[in-house]
Amino acid sequence: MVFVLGDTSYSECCVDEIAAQHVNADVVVHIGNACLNPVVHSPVIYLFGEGKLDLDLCVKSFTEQIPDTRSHVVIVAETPFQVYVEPLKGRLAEYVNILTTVPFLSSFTGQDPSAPSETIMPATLTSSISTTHTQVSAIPHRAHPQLQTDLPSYILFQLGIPPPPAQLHLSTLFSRPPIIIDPETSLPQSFGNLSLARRYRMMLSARAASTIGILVNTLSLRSSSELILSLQGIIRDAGKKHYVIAVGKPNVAKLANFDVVDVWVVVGCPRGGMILDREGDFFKPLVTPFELKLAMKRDISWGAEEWILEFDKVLNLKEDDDQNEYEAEENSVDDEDAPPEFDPVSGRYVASRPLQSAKASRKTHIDVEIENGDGEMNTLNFSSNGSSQLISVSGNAGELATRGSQHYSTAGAYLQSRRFWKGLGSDFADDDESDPENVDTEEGERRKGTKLEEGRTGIARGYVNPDV
Amino acid sequence: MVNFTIDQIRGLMDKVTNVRNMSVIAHVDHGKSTLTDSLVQRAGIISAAKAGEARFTDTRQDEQDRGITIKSTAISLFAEMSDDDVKDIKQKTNGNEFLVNLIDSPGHVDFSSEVTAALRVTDGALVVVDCVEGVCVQTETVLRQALGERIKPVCIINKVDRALLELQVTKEDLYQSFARTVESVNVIIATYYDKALGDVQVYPDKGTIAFGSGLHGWAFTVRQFAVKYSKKFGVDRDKMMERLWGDNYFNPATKKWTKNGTDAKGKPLERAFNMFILDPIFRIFDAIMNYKKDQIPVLLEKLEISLKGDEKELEGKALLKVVMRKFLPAADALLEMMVLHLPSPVTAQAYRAAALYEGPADDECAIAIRDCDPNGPLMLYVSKMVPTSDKGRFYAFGRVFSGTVKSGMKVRIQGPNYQPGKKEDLFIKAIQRTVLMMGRFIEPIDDVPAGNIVGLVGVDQFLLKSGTLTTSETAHNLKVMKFSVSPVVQVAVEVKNANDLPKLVEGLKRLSKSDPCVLTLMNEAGEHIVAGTGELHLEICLKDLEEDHAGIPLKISPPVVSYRETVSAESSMTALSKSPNKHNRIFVKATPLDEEVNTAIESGKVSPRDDFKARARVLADEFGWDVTDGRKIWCFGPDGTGANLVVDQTKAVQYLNEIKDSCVAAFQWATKEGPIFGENMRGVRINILDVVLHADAIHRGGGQIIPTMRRVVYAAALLAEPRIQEPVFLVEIQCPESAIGGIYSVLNKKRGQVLSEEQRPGTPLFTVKAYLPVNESFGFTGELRQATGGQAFPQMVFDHWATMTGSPLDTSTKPGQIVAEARKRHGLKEAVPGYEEYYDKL
Repeated sequence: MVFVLGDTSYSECCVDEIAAQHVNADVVVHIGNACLNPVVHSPVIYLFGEGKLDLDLCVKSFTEQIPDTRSHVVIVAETPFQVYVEPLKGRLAEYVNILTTVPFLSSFTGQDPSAPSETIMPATLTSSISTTHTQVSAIPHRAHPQLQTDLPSYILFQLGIPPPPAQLHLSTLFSRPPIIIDPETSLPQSFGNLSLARRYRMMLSARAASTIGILVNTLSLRSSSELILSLQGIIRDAGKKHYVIAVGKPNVAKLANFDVVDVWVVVGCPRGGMILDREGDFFKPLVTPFELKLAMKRDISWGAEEWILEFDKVLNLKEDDDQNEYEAEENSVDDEDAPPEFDPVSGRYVASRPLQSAKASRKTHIDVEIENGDGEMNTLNFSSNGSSQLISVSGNAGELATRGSQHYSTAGAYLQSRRFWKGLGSDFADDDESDPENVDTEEGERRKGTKLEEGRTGIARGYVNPDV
Repeated sequence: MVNFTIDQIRGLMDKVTNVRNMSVIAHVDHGKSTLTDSLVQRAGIISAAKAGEARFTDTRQDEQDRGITIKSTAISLFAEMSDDDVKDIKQKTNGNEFLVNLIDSPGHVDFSSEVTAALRVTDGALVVVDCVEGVCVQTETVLRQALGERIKPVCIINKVDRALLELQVTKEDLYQSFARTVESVNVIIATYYDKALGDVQVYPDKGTIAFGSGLHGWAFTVRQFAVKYSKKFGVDRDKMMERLWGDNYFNPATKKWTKNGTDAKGKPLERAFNMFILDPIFRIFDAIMNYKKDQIPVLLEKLEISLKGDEKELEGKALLKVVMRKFLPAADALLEMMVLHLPSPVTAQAYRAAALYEGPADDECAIAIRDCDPNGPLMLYVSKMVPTSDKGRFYAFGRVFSGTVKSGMKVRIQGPNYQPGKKEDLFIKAIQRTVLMMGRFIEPIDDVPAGNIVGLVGVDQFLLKSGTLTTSETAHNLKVMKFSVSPVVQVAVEVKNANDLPKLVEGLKRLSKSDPCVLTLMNEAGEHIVAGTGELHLEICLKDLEEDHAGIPLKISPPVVSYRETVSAESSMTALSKSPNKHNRIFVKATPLDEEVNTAIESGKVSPRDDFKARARVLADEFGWDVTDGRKIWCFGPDGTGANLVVDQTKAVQYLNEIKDSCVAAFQWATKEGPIFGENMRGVRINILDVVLHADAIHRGGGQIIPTMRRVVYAAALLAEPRIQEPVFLVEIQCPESAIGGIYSVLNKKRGQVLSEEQRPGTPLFTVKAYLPVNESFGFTGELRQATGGQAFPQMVFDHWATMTGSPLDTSTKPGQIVAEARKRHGLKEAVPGYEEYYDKL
């Protein structure tokens, strides 16, 4: 049986393993542009297709952009344009130092035994791999012949427009800005406003954030769960609060719903799943896992290392060994506050480690606890061993934040300090003109608010209703 | 007078009626630090020989090198007054000993934030005015600031020696020049009349003005002479004081006082001031400077001045200095003026409390401040940070308004964004140590009671620049200082070596702490920005950053100006945006706010922290707003405080309360990064006309509302004839007549706009005042110097934001070019998006 899957769950360059699992597929045929990132389970057959490109114009652009025939040039193509790489090189015989690349999966060479073995690529492309293209490139998922000089001094000639994160990453690998051919016009396209300086700003915003949302934008890529765990660990060590959230394909509106989150870290396909907010459309800044790792370091560092996207490399980044120093600082007298930090983005002091003091004074962090009708504790997320309490959404979020000095909730603190609106049922009371005589009853009514109830759970195919 | 000890000072601190906190303020180069020296010398801290040259309070090397004050410096002085003088004090006192806490402040306009910080912790001000240059732009600025803080001024007309030696004026000319200066000071004081402070104009015949020379170390008040002559004539002292100023004449023939300038025969009489006060001084000058050796001893004897051994050998200027200093010691005149006429903290806080405290006037803190109660809850305002010898650490410098601050005391540290009952910007911490700041030295002290000035150790980590320290859990903040200057000139800094990045960020933090006004932040393009008030300010800041705070080599961009985005008309149609799910619609219109409202918001007169009813009243009464609109202001922006408003004009919209938070958040975002080129918006009022919301709460969450509100604000602004505003300096140039042509030609070239050109009476000097766009001010000083042969020096101070003519959307106009250039620099699309980008059709 063959199922045709469209509308991928996450980024379109990735093999949609989740959808494939829904139909219990034995093998996935991925058609079109591909990021070639390894997936967890399914064997994959790749069909890259053949994009439309005017080779004559390409050659013209090439000679215009790179007049010096002795230049070292590396030609990389988006997978649908891979078929044009060798012909292009053939047309540019006078350029002696052209390097071509081919798509490359670690599973081809057997270097990666854990990969599903039956990953197949179009035969036309794989033929050359074994012979000349022996070098695994610093360019992700590409292989090329032996380099004549070091990679940064090459000029990148790119066929097809890679997604912004990949573009930025490629530009960091070379000392000259890459030449990117737009397949629509077959002419060079301007590089755009991708700049590492903007990423630096985002990274600094992450340092000043107290609550970090881990936005899960892939489920099928290998190492993603390890990466999420590792990110959770470093965030916790830095005394910050995190939430793990998946919203399907992220957009401005979806992310703006979580106003307690100060900064998002997107765990997604390094090619198409990362979001570089170029126009400033998103309400809160978005960073990559690599940037978050830098941000959680004690000292600011930037620029000395390259800008990394791949999960594995991010995971293997040298762990900070100064985390212990945070611990040391926490041992100060427990009812005194830790000093805030300077945020170079806003130029202010921000207290960005809400859980640090909570940890020091041995408060437990709670998310939400609810009490069932029969008095039995039922806990959403993780909770402390604290006594059971009914938490209503109304009025006293402050209590939630600090109650009994046993629990601490960043969301509670947020609601207490930043929100005017205290929940359902309050819209009818007009604060401006409330009659002093009715205040008691009205206030009382409002304080009660609405009870928090456990809702339905599960996936759309079949929700589980709570048994009431 | 004897040197005093810390114990003596500590003793005096408790007698708070005998404390005087005062700042010395003036235009640049009018001689504040030099005058301060004569006081410091009296306290025995520097030798008399050096007074006038040492500038004790200029603690930094570059201050000494440049001969200007950059940071304000505090010093405590001990004064003992005679019983006679004490009797004349019109407020409660206790004994003859007084503690004078004096802060010397910078005069250069670029550093006027330092003046603001100094004024906050003091109750009185000594305004120094150069007798030749008269009242200058900065004199007016600092006076205005002082009166705004309810600081009582006394005045000294300085550099009288110059008038005598260089200009060789006659007595009557000098009197006229004094009278004019007094008049112009009083005009300013009268302009900023504050009912709570009362009439604080200065009069020589009341003893609130002194005349003297800081350089030579002498000064006098009319009162001092009145005391001498009242004994001689046997007249009441107060009556004598009145007679020694103004149109009062003494007829030596009849021995009668008259108000007429002529005697019975029509012969002109000599003015009493000239006859009794100026005459002896003129005679001393004449005798000594013209080397009339035979007259000198006679004169000295008459004035009861005795010279010591080697002093007798002196002649010329050196002798003049010694004689004058013995005749009329500056410290006597100044101390007398301060002690007699400036308020003690008890007196001052009674009328300052309301202006100082944000909370209600009847809570425990407000009452304790009003009474200056050392046993009340601690209320301490930290007005600035002073670097310690330990790099990167600072003393928090401030004033105890109530309670007593002790070492080791646990306090609540409330930053500028703290709001009662919330946790934001609030820290609880013990004060490590309290110290007394003495110029370049500090002295540890155990505790400091209300009404005094103090330095704190261990608080600097919690406050960036300023804040409130308290022990009361219900305390509101002491009002955040508003600066008269604005950091409108900015540069981008970059490390030369990527490994130095942590040092740069740490350096930026330290720089930000060490200066009350400098801003360090990051722009959209990811560059570290340092923003200062002017070129000199930035130069000093960057030098500090490079050499001291960061200690690393830096790449510094050429200076650029920050702009504001505004609107110049009402939106041509109602702007509408739909939420991403199309279920919610927001209808708004943008209108410009009056410039008066903008200024009122920026100066804190109308603020988000006011009670909404009181605020509506002010808006209605003073700015012609509709009261209902005034009450329905949702928020200010950006940062919750800026001069942009959201006004709810909807009628009976269900669930409206629910989306208010989202709208407020979106408005902050939109006004922070405007639609034209991502600069702050200013002077834009957004009227929410109608809102259509989905009935189901899940479909009208923040995610749907925030982006929509932002879009609709952009659309409304773009529909309302958007404009950009540029900062404009007020420039004051003093120069001889011959240089005026050069000044005009440079001003013309730089889009300058001349406001006035006046000759200062009695001098060949002209004063030219002009508006100059900050953008054109770079290199202005140099060009001016070139065009005038080095005769003209400008003083430039931020004055206002001026809306530039021409649409910023049209690249053929000047604003259009500025916008296009900035968009390119920030990596945005070069064309400003049209309103259609944000507008949705119904």
